[in-house]
Amino acid sequence: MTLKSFLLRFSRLLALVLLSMVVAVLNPNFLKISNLINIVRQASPQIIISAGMTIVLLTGGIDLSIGSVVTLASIIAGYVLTQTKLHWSIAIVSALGSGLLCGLVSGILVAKVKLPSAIATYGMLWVGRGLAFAIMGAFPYFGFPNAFRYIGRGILLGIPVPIWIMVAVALVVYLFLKYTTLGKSIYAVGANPYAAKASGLRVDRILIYTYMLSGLLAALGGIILTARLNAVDQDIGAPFLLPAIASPVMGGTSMTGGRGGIGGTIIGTLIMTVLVNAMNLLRISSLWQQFAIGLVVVLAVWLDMWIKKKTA
Amino acid sequence: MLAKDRPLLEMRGISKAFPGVQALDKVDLDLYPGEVHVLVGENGAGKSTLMKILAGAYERDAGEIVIDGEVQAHWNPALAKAHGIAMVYQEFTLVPYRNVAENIFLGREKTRAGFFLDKRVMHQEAHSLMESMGVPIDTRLPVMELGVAQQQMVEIAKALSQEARILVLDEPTSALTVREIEQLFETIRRLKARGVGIIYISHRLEELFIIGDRVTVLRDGQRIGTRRVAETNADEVIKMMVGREIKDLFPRRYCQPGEVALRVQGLCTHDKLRDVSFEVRFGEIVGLAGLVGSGRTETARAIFGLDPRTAGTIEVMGKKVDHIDPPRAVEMGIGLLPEDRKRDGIFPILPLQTNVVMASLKQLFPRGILNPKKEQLEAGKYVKQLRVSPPDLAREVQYLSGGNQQKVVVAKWLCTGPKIFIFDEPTRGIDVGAKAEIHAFMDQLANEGNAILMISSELPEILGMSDRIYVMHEGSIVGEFPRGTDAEEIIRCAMGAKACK
Repeated sequence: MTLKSFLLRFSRLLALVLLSMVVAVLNPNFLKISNLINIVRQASPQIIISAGMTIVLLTGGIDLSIGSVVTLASIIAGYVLTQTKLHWSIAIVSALGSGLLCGLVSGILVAKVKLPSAIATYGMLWVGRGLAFAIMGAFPYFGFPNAFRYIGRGILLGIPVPIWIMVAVALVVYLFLKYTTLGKSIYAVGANPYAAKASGLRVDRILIYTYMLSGLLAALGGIILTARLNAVDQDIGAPFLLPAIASPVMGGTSMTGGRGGIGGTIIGTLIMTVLVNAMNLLRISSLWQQFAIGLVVVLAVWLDMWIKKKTA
Repeated sequence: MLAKDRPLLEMRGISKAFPGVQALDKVDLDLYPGEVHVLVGENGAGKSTLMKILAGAYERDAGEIVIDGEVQAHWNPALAKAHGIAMVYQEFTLVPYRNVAENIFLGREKTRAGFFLDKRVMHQEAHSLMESMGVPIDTRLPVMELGVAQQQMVEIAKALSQEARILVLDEPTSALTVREIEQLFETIRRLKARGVGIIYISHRLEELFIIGDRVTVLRDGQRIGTRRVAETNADEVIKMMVGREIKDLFPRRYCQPGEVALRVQGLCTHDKLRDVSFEVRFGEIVGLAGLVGSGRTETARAIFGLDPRTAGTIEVMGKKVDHIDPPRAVEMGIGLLPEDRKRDGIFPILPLQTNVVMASLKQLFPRGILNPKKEQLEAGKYVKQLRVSPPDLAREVQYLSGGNQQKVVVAKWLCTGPKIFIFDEPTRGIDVGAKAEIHAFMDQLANEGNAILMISSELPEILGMSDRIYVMHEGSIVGEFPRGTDAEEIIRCAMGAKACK
């Protein structure tokens, strides 16, 4: 591989490495294994949630309901765990099921009713949120069984369980997009929905599956979060929505569809997590942290475009 | 009066390389006032690249651009525009729901007091502009209510309103009917009289001899030669274009038809088709002729299940098909090469190999698991068979020329192994060489026993390729003709003259 094609392929990774190097110079603690593991663990739920968004973006759509689905799934898990005597695995199944269901409804609205995805999922944002509030009422759920909390806090072979789950999800999504006909069809629908239809692809079904996957992954992210925090409230999911859009785009996934993948999304999420971690290490006031995040998001994408232009 | 002996434009020794390709190699081109200079060449010969350099959209690697005898040190889209260079592309840049005048003055609206739109003046000027071109169109109509030909006129008017002296027309007739082409030529003649220089890109040789003054042939990024149109002939131009002689533009030899492959009876759709009935047999190429808008494409779309039918039956290989949608059609062995290749045919940002297998994923990988080796093998097979160039399986299809994109769409359908092909305008916007290849290929498909329904607006293609011809007019089939019918009869039928059989 020539330097040029290497740069083109890994320009985003380069941005992440560059950022890490700067931070490491400013504070050597950054490179401690425990800190690095901590960063990846923190990023894991976001990566899983963003993976779902990545798939939706590949079809040329967007899923604005992701944050609400995280909330709804978390609250349903919390409900089953604390308000019923059912086994904790039922909590997981029903949380995942709620995610799938939300995705199914969004998918049908997009594919069959032909609503713009932003509108369909914006509706789902409020419906999911309202449902979550109605289920929980005013009092947060907390104090879950240890077996359930293991999902968020457990450590397996020296690595936190959320990381294991995230790696598994990333791998599955990677293989799914690259080596299945459904994965290829998702790119095709995003690249040209008309040609996809005229090629005999079942575009409706493909879209519905896409939103269901997005809902499922959001729910999974919610479960990990709930297990880690050992409590769930109404605001648990909302902060995940915008980063779920930003990180795939930083990672090179096109918002018009047909281009991108999970690898870039992981890097995009890590860039943001590293940044927050670094600012904490460097004791930068949280007042300025958001400012810096905005700056880095823009810089990272610009650097990528600049490298592409220089090497093209 | 302008100095007729000084060129408006000279492009000298223009070179441009893209990764892996020398797109242009020291190409010269000049243009005099009041001249139509026709630029021909196969797809990928470098015509578009040369024009994009002229428009300032691409930077050249070498060579100079000279306007009115002055070498231009700097060149960019704004300067090109300032020097009166205007492009009218195949794809229109009009805003569909704005009216004609608004489109002509888009971004340069006439205002009163610098703020309020002066609609009266805009309509007046737009009107006199259209009048001067010989096409009085109501400037209050939204552009989307105009026909393709009229839209093109608006596009040209827009260019002229910007004081264009050098007008580039890229395949202006590819979507026009015979009558509309005549109107376009009339407009071109008026522009010539006003001293406008026109660079005219076309694949249709007959047009060259009607409207052209000089012709320049490009091949593989090089200028093969420039001739006065009066001093050359079609054979010479074709030879220059392809570097070899094409003896047989239409290779079809009639052969014996077999069983009925596709029978359509009483087909109606809610807005266009009325009682369409016809049949296609295996081993046969059936031509579907008619004017633009006569319902040919709609027929193809209804058969393929892209548009719903409201009445009528479709029989595929003797079996009635109740419900049809594209996935079912593909399963039953029907392939549709769509009229609008860019919209319905290709996935521009996906690699060549993915484009080729996209309609046959289910057949190739019944378990849903993709095998990249098999994908490459399949795609490679058809890319080789159809001689797609460049044969780079990883290349995004948007970077291929029009003819090669069309081959990719053909490859996509071959890959599904269909028995019934519907080719809707298979060679529109394609150069002579690729055209001949596609024709030879269709002939081969029919000889191998496949059924082919071919829709075409080019009469020579219909006459040359079809074993039988149906003619459509206003949503109905109005005539059926055997091979060897002469052109006049078919035109008369297509225009709606009565009593055709």
